[in-house]
Amino acid sequence: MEIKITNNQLFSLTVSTSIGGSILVVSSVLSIIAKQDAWIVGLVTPLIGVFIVLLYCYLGSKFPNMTIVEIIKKILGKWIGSIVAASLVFLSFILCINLPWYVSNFLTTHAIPETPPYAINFLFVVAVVIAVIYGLEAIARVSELIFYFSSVLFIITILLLIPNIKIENIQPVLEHGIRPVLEGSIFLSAFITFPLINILMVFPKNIYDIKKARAAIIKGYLCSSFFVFIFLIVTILVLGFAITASSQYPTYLLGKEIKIGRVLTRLEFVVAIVWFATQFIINVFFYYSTLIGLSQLIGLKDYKKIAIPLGFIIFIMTGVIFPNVIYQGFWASIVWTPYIVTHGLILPLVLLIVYLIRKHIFKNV
Amino acid sequence: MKWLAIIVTLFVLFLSGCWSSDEIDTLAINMVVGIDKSENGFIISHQVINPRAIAVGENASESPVVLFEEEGVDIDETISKFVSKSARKTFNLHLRMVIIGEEVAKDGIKDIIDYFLRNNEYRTDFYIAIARNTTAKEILKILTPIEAIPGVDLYNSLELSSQRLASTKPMRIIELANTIISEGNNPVISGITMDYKGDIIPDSLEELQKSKNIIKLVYSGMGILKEDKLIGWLSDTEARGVNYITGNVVRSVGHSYYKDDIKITYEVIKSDSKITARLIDDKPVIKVKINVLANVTNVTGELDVSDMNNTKILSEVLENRLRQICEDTLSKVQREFKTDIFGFGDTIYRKHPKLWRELKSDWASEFSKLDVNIDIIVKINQLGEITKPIFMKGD
Repeated sequence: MEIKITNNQLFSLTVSTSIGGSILVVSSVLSIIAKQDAWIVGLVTPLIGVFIVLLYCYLGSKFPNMTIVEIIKKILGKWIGSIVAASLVFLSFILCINLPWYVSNFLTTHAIPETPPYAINFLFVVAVVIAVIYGLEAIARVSELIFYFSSVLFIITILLLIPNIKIENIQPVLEHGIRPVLEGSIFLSAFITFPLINILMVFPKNIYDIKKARAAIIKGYLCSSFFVFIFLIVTILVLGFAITASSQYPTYLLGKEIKIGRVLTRLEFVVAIVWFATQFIINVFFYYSTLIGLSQLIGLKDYKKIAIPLGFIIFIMTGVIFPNVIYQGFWASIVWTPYIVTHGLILPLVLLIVYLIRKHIFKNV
Repeated sequence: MKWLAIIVTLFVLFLSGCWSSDEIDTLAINMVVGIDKSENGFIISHQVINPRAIAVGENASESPVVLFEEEGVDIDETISKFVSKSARKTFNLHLRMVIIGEEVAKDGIKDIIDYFLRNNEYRTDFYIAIARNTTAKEILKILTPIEAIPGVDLYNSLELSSQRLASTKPMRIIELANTIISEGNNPVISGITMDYKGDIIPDSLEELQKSKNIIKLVYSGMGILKEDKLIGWLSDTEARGVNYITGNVVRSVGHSYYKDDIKITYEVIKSDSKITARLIDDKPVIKVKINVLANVTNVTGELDVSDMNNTKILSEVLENRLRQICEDTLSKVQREFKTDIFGFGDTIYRKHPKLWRELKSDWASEFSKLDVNIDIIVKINQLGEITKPIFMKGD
């Protein structure tokens, strides 16, 4: 019997997948691109993004009981389909390696610089592997829990930052025109919209009702873009775009700035905890997708058998994926966008076109 | 699964928390960093808490803080050398103040800001001040009478004086960096100095036991920075003018005269300012509108302040006095320093970005010619616990 997850769990999974790595990192690159208008990027992105998410939902709903890997194989045929699907699985695999690197890099930058990154990565990857072995149901439940937990901390953080806001920091609005904003929104989509293709690993296969589930995904996407927008605007309002642009983890710096009276200070690790939590759940989800995708490609019945071996590979790779922070910056701002656009935008469009042609002209899907 | 659980449990046992953990008895808590210039580079001084002296229940016969000094070419390198002098590792997360020597400030403080923002051992909640007419080392040497730890004393005194007197500006590193980066704004940093009314420098506890004649630390004036270089000083009153114009006044006091013989003392309890830029004949004109709410705290002379007809006189007297402070400050900054510390350039940039692109290349000289109208509205709130001046001769 297939494991089914509720719409609420799908909602929180969507939020985590979409918000995931972005919340601590994107504001820095966005304020390089769009300067003080970086917050407008947060408003524009979901306007386009929502159609892309609808496209994912449409593709999924045409093939109930299939994951994206099976859909690709079905539409593009066995050979081409397998190669394309393998590329998509490899993308989630790369993400599974990236995310622990971010966690350990963050911790060694800000808190414990003498700790070897492998020591942090090990604990993180072990937790991810164990979570995946517990199965999709457990993952979905934890994502629900983490969603409530992080939302509360998120709202508290934002409320505490209100006294530090300086409205001058976002003026003048649209000084450099709309162009940098659009450029920025492509970049932001690469973090909050396109990774959502991964949700097709559980939608509609592990869902009760496709229509309600689609609404949950859209709601989740809008909710996460709202969070990202709030974080962007508060970051710019409090720090100013110049400082945001030159800091590695602006959101953490934001936490350092909280100072209300003598008691409510030194809260920067609240921000870090929210980030760790979302980082963990997105990592678990992508690892789950990697395993499901890989086992469907090579015809394994139980994905849990390869969870530990692949976990070791991830653990080793976390130390070598980026040689240093400078390369990671280059990867995040230059390489990642075309890489994810290929898989998150071009691939579903090609799938849609081929599907429509085969359905209406050849009538063989 | 079971084996995995056992292995993980073992790891938890052996890793025992953080790799880079530091026990509290191996740390030297650093309260103030002082940066001075030397022939080769910098003299860095640290004011470190002496844990024995401030421990509860111990007899305080030792100085609560110890001053460490090191000379070197580079800031970080010099700070790293402290371990050769102290048995404990310097712990900077409780840093309260960074005192920059006047000579260093004149040369520019960009590299200092970069160091403090880049290094993960510093938070961003400390204040920055410039040692005026003296060196940072001398400031750090002084023990303070009421608050045992001078760093805390400096920090609280800066906050208090900005909230109660409005003659200082507590500058944090984020704001400082932002104003330096901004093309239409320049930073001001409060000056700290010793008041030479006493003649004993309290650098040991015995001297501190006296109640008079000891030299105390005092915030004095405001240093004007052109980008990151100190170019001059404003007096306390002028510093207040800067705070009125930029809207930094929480509370303040002052006095003024009406018809030369009636003295009115007032306490500002609320003040805000709004700076707007307009274009008149394609030239920018700045309008500063300051709203002040004030209480009367002292009246000497023949003026019945409780009379409705005199309310207008009161607020006019106050308005004139505040306008005079602001205009004096403004003209001094425009003529002498030619440096926009009020952020007028930023105001123009926010309202007229295109015009600003033409102005910004030569903003310093444009600023000195800038037309600024200061408009002050004072409202009188309360008269204190009595109404008429108590010694006024009634009719």
